[in-house]
Amino acid sequence: MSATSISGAYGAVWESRNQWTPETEAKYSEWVRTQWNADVFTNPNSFLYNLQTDCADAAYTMRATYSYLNQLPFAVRDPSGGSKPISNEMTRWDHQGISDKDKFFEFLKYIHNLGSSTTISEDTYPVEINRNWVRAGDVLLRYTHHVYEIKDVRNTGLLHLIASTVPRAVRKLNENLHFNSSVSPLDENGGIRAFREPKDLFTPAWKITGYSNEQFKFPREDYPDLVKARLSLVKETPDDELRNLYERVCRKVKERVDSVNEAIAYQEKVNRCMNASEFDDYSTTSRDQDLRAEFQNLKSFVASRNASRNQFRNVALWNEAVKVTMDQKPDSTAQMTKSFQFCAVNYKSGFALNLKEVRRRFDLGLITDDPNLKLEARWGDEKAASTCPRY
Amino acid sequence: MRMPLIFIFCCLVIAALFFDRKLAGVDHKTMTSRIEETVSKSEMLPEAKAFAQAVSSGYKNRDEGKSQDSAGIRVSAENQVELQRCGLPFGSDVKTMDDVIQGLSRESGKAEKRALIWRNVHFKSPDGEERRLRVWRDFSIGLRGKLRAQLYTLDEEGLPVPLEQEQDAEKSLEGAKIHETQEKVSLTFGEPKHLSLSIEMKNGSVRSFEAKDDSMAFQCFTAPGSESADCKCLGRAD
Repeated sequence: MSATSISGAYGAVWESRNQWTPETEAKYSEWVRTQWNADVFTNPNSFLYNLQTDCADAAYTMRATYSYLNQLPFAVRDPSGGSKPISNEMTRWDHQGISDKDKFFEFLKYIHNLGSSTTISEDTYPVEINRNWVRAGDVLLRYTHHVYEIKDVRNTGLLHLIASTVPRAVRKLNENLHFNSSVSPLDENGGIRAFREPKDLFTPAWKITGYSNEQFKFPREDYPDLVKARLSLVKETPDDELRNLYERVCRKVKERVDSVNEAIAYQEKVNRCMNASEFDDYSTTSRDQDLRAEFQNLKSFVASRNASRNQFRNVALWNEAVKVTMDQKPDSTAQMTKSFQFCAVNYKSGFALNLKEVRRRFDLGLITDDPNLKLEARWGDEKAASTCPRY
Repeated sequence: MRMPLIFIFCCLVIAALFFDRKLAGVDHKTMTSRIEETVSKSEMLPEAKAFAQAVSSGYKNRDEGKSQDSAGIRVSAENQVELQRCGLPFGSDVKTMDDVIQGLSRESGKAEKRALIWRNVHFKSPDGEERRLRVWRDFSIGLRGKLRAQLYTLDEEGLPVPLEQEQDAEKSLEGAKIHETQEKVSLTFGEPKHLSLSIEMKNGSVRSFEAKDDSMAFQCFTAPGSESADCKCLGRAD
């Protein structure tokens, strides 16, 4: 992603010379599909290079950046309860000598400080679940927990999701194909949502074109599948379905590797027990719950298709999935550290752990979310109790 | 590093005590004395106590001006039609949004789950500076619903500026006078209807809400600065 200089007017962050229309929304969607990539904050050639984000920051940044680059209005509600929106019209950064890009980055950091996976609910609205309204550039919100950007809607109906996470950092974004039912909305504050145009910021959601509360009637367990079914143009083959579920588990384990490594690096830097805030940032409690759910999804799929397993053309993947989910027998050290064919996870330099062993260790409660423990204990190589407080 | 801890601790006490006072039927006087009692018994750091006491005293001060806050958002004739369509409390006894929520709560029994989503407190510091405090629950990875807090001052445009210095925070809060509170809470009820409510209040009066159960979905929204709500029955399974 690159950008030319945008002119700010009379001290505003940028001037809105254009308006949101169905056409600009379609272009925004295409921009997200093609430009909003996992390396958007880590690629030195990216306009947003080196920007620190957490999950909500990344989602707001996606919408704000397109608005900035295309001189469109951008506004969100003031989470502190003021009646005036936070918008590109703000003049706070109108200092002499400040570049337009620096002004925009100051604005982004300000939005990051105010926004969260709670506030974004009020800056978006739930949409109809069909291909007209669920588009790249929308968000999938687990209210007060996490927010994903929708990067693409695949022909099979699967959502290509992309997201940052906590703690706020310059990081490559996590990518996932679709989601499990832990993300299903509990109420109308979450779900699949589109950004409100500034003119609709204080409009009742049901008056906005494209609004629908139908997705909240989907049973929570079935929500991911019903969304997929509504959005699909072609039916997933059993092999595709298996590969997607398997890859999702694999990706989540790899994300955990990154997350644990971040914690270990931080722990080595501070060399003391983590305080409450650090503990929250570096523990993997929710991530581990999510990973267990993904293992369970794969297991349910394998169990439900076992009788008709001959339909899978990729026999090697099927066998690997069976082994990952069903095999309770402990492997030898040599076996467990040998990566499986379809998912290689190196949890420390030169050491692999296969997915079956990760699942087995989760089942046995050997894996811990405690960020004060060393790497081997985090992955269940050894049992260790922390002397540091848990928060 | 002490600042976030102090804030979180204080806000935990304050938010827990302030929460749901209206629906729980606790009057402001009782609430104020509860806050003071808790603050005096707690083992909070001195700065934290000052913070809590400041908010407590501000809360007392707000009581004096309660009359103008307590009218609530009126239920219009159009809103009555929508309430009736969704089978919610309506009629001559239902004059305000608060009446709707109280009627619904009465019909639904005791809430199984209550949660504060966020709370904003707008107040003036003794030197007349406008300040805001936001408290919210954060379930981001690892946080498990931790209460977080942020204090703001306002810029020339009336927009919030996060305050980061502890000294500023203490100075702002000592003798603070609260003139507005806003909060969003959620309530979940069990059998028979599995009603869930998401309610936004200002100064203890309901301004917006969403109600959903097995048979209907209903929303009322009041825009900032407006005194009339826009309500809609969004689905009824007959």
